[in-house]
Amino acid sequence: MLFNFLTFLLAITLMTSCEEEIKLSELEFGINEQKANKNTGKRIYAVNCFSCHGDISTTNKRNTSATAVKDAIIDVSSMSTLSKMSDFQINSIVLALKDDVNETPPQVTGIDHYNNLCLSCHGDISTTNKRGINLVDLKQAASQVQSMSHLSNIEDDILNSIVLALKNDTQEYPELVKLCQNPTSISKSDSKALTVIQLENTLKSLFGEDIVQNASDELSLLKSITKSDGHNSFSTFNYQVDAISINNILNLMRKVSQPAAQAVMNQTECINSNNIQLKSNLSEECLSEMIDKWTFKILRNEVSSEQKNKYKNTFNEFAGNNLKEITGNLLLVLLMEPDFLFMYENRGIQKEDGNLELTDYEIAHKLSYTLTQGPADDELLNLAKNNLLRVDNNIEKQIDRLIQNKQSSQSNIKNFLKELFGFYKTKTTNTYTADFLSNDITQSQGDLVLPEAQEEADRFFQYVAFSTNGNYSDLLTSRYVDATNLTTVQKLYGISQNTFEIPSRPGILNRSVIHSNGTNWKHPMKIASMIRRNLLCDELPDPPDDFDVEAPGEDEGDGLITARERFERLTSGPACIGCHKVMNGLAFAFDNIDSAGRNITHEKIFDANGNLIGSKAVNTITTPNLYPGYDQEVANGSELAIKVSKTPKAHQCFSKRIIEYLNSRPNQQEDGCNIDSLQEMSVQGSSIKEMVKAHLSNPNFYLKRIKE
Amino acid sequence: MKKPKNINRRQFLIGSGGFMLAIPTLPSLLPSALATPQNRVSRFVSIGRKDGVPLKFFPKVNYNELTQLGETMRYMNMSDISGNISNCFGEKFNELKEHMLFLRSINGMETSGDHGSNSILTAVNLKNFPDRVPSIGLYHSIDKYIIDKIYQETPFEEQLNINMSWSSSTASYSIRNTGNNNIKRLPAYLSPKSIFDAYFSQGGNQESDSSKNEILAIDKVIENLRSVRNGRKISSNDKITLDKFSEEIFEAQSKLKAAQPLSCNNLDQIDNGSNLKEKIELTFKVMSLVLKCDRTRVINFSFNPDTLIKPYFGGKFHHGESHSTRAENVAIFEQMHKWHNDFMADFILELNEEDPLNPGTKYLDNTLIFNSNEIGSQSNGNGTGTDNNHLRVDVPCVLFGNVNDYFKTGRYIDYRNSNSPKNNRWWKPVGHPYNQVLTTIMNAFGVSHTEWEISNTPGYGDYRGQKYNKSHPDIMSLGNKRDPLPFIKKAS
Repeated sequence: MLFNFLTFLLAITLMTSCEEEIKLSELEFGINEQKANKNTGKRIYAVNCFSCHGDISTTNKRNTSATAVKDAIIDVSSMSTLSKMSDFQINSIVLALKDDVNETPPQVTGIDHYNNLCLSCHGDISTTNKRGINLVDLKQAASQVQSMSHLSNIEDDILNSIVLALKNDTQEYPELVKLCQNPTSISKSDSKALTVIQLENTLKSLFGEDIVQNASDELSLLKSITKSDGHNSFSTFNYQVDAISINNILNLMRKVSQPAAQAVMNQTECINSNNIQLKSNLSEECLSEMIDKWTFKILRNEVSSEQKNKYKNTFNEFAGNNLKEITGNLLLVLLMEPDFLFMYENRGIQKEDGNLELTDYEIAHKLSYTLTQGPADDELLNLAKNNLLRVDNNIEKQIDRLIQNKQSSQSNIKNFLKELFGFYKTKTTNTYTADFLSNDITQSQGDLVLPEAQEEADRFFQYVAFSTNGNYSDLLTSRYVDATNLTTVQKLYGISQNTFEIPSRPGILNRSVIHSNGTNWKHPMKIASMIRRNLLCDELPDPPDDFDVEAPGEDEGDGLITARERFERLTSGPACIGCHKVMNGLAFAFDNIDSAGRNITHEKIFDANGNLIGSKAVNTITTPNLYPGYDQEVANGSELAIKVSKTPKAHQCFSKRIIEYLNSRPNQQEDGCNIDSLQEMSVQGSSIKEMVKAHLSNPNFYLKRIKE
Repeated sequence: MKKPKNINRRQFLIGSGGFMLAIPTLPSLLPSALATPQNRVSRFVSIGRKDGVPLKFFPKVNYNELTQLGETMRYMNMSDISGNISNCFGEKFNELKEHMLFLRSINGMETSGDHGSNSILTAVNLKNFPDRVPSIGLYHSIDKYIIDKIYQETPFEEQLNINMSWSSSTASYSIRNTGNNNIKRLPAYLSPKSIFDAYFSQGGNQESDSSKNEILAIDKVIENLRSVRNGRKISSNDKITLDKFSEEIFEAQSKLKAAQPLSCNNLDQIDNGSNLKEKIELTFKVMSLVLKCDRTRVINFSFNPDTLIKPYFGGKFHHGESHSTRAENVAIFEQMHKWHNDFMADFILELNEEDPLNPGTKYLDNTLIFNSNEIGSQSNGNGTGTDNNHLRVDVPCVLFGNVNDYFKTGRYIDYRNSNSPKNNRWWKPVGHPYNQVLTTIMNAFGVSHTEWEISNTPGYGDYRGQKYNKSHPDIMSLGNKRDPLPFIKKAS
């Protein structure tokens, strides 16, 4: 009897101290009926419901009721195993299935763990006298204090997160200097050329996919000469307008214009309905109809009568009588027009302060190109035509509408995130050896490491940024994982098909995509430079040209050395350490993740030829030097990611990057106020979507100040 | 294969790659795939002659001076031949030595091969058709297989066939098997004016309009760029960008104007000249234009004015001299060949220019000119003079230019068997069959044997020989009939 009672008490303790345990204990004892917890509901759903009902964000059971769930458990035989589920559990599932645009991802923070494990004895986290405790002391207490014995089997990561949550981080990080100087001033800017992707999307929108497909060679060529494969980029603004690109644009338009002429004729009512094939059969009115329609579509604005007459004259100047051919020639002229190739945004009214106010059509297209990489659609154009864009929060509504588009807006923002975290272009071929992959991963699975890691990262971004409306910190700390049908990633992470949470790999920095490089050898400095440059916005010079990285296994001196030891030795000289003191601490925190993205405790050491020559224990303790003079250690990459997520500097940098990306130009002094504003939002936990929306709905986004 | 006859110029240009011709493109901008020889635009020109050749048609090199490479092959670099190549290849060819492959000891194996057999591109004696059709059946002439390969599914215009002869026959030596062992000899143009009218004037207004319109469109583009640059409120950097655009497009337009489309559509009318010499010059001129303007990529020219040359040779004519054994007549016969060849040299030299369809290369790098004769060497039993019979022994085969980077050019190659070096009617013909020259040419264009063979029987054309019992196949180096001539490829 006493034993049973103690067991009951232990069960309650476990239930309240560990979320995984909650599931087991709740199922077993059917208690805790008074509350509902969305995160708990998501986890219960993932374990018990996912296999039949699919992803929680898309299942057709969303917004179901507790009664319906209970009925189903009784009526549906395959759900009978859930008959012991408590009301708390059912309510939690129902809560998790309820639509909520502001929902947050199901991550468990150090604060959550504190509340679960420590709150009952030590009080509120913000006032507890345990603030500042370190990991060693916490472990010691867990082993010595009887009431804390439930912590003795808790993973180090969870304990670390508690230690981190108990640190007074906001006091540790230096105050950031505000960048805002004059809220009313806006940056001067040049006009932007359409990126190759924008160009491609615009041509498709105008003339159809097939016609553009016909020019795929020319487009590929254009993409290949841009650093970002023709995409928007925060690091390579525009593509260089040089002889190569101009010649290739001309070639592209030559290729497109003649077949596009048929599309133009088909979509010009008076031509199509009368099946006009000869120029001599084209009436003046019909020519006007064609020019009215297509100059507006191609030049993205109303065109003056004078301009229309100019195009009519040009049309009439072309020799011959073949309407399609002549229309093709006119299209070539239009497609090479500066107003087609560039976004000038200079037709609006100039205000007293010298700023130009964008026209409604310019706003419509700017918004659309920024979010979807393509021209404004009919809905936007209709609003612009009727001057309705600036009223009734229509811009905000249109942003909401456009951002729902998975294929364009969401993948565009995900491209930004991929560039931010340094894997926009990832190697696709690998040289992993069998010794490296070991028995549990075959060579053919080794070939899938890189593509599957990319896919896993893509799903992670989709989930954080869009499915759960997550924020920047979530990108760095969320434990969500979806490796469904990604068998190699499952092996890399040691998880199953149905695992949707991976506590040991919080955030994108700890995912395979960051670490897998297709070789047996780690490249820690690449990761460090990405964090330093992209996430912390610190200037970092490139290594000197004469720097020669010795091959692994060479000159190893007194035996085997790990990648960390090798790089520490290489960078210890006075010429290197100046920069590497801010690099190495970021690089080596991930020493427990190998170059395929697996967790390791010992690093396999290979010589330059890929021969396995031994292994050695890894060491993840580093001093990341996030700020000058900030010399606190982190235990590993998980802790580093959490720490980065808490630094105002990282949020400021994220704000800078996202603004650069959306503006498609480098930040200037006048952007300081926007950066401060978004940084504040980010620190406060605003979602990525909210930050994007905030920038795009800022009235300054629709002003232009032309550089003299 | 698709062969639309009435496509307009524009369709043709776009479809065949003429688009690239119209748009000057820097070679460095081309995708690497386009830069490979296999993806280049290729052309084939055959120049067929009649009545055989004198002994001194061949390079003035002794057999023993050649470097032996194998049992059936000796060679010398053309550049090692000092001075003119031979009595029939004068000074004009010195510039072309590195672009030539001069073959020797090639023997026709057609049944009773003779002149008038139209064997240039068939390796079959079609003179007494169908009696001399090989038992395996009829093939198309090789230009058909080459056309299929180089045009693939792209719309194209028929190859240009030309006859220059004392007769008014319009039947070319381009042969099509029309089924049931019937053949069709494709028609030929007889004069440069008729070619010009067909390819540049007749129905050419539309073509001309296309190019004019292209130039005009680019004019308008430049005008618009300048208008925006000077008339709009834009930043100084925007102006610089537009200046760059204008400059580059202006440059592109300049190249366009200087390149083929403008000259192709503003050509001075070509007539037939006032004499034979001018007519020949104009014929080669129009051939060059047709190739450079990409009107077609295959030309077959039967170049045999024969009796018409009398005014230039004191009343002597070609066929007559070919049968003479007297030294002075042989000398005239040599001069006649040189006279003909000099026209050919001018034509080939004109192709030693930048090829806009294959940037970074010359026309000659992508054009194979096959010069041959339906009769072989007229040398007598001593191998020194001229016989008075026409045999397909030691048939002259001279290749100029290249295709797909296939040939290792600049060489004189003698294929006779080193154990029996003489190769004339009085000795057993030794060497390699003419058929193999044709299969090698097809091979160079990427045509696989599966595309011409009948019933998977290796080889092409007629291998039976039979005349004078001197050209029997078993004394030829047949080898594998699917193999190209040895040591002729670049890799060898």
